[in-house]
Amino acid sequence: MSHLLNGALGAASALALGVATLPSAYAHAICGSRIFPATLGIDDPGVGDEIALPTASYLPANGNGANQAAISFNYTKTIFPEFGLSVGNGATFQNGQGWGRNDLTLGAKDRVFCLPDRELMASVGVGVDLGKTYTNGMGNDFNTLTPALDVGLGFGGLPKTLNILRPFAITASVGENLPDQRFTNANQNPTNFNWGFTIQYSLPYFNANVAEIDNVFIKRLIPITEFTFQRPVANFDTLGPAVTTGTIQPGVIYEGNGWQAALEAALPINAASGRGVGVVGELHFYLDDLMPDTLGRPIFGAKK
Amino acid sequence: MKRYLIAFSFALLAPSAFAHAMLESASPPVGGAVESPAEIRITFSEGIEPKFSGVALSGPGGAIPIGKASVEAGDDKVLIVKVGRKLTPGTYTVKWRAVSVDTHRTQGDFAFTVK
Repeated sequence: MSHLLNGALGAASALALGVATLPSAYAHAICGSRIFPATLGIDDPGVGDEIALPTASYLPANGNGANQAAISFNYTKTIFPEFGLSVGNGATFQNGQGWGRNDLTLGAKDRVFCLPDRELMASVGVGVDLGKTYTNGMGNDFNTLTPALDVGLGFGGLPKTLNILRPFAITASVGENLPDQRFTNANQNPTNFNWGFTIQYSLPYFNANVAEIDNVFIKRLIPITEFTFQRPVANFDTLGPAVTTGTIQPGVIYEGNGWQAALEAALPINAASGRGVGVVGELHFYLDDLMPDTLGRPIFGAKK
Repeated sequence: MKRYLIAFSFALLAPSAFAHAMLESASPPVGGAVESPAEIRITFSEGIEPKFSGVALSGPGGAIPIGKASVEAGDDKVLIVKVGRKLTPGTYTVKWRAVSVDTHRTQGDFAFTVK
């Protein structure tokens, strides 16, 4: 769920601060035979008890040309089996400015549906960036509300004659940053539209549904490429022409039992997004797997 | 909170203790070609509850009756289902569902060929 906050909300901070953002990660989700892993660029379509700790990123040059590093965490707790609340925070370093804590982010997310035989699932959520909770200039002086829709579709429903394509899956996310102030200290706070998608090829799915893989390491890998974009759509007339920013993030995810590790390159799509090849990585723990009888179960409505 | 922190620490130290049961390997092998098998064995990443887990087998002539699911003695990660009759050559599909010992549900399907 954290991408909702650290990604989309990060985009709002990005415009305000002029910094590039590499969003934090989100939860894994299971629908039918499909595992949608937690992804770094956009949120996945599921809701679960999980913690991303840490998510770390580095960019040689952000949109302002400054060297930038960031580290963050995000924790999601299910209240009901398909509804969870999240909290996230982190810190960003910029060359010349030093380290500063980011705004605190909160979120709520509900899984709307899962069609197991079609490997199709969707969720809706809303995130809040709490302004003035930052230090050293690494946040906003206003709050930002971000509603979002996340969808995932596995290709497992393809006919067996197309077996080699069945491990493919796509996920997508759309959302909008809605600042609660049009101007802050004479600076305009634009409304941003955020969208992104991932293309992933699950070797765990290949191993379980297509053909067995002997190598115990390779059969847990999910090669993935993520695409994330942001663009101001309202209240930006004093800031110049609207420019779409974003990153393309090729990488790989390793699925452990109850955890995953992800590593992706971060390629800015234009100068306004940054320069050079960055990197983003994350350790992610699924508490529903690791602690099913305590922190890993919903507060209400648990089956056990 | 202290109890949770301790539990969390143990969970991280033993990350394979609980999780969704994922197919690790199978006999007949996923996508493989074999002689008519006497049983179907699926090895999962986690222990499973045979009472709530199962397998359905279908082939060229439709659904094929098979035995009840059980787990291997001493290893609850291995699901076993007896195949009651000799299978004729052709392509068969195994649909499985598994409930792990911590009640998480998973499912999947794969094909194998009888030579």
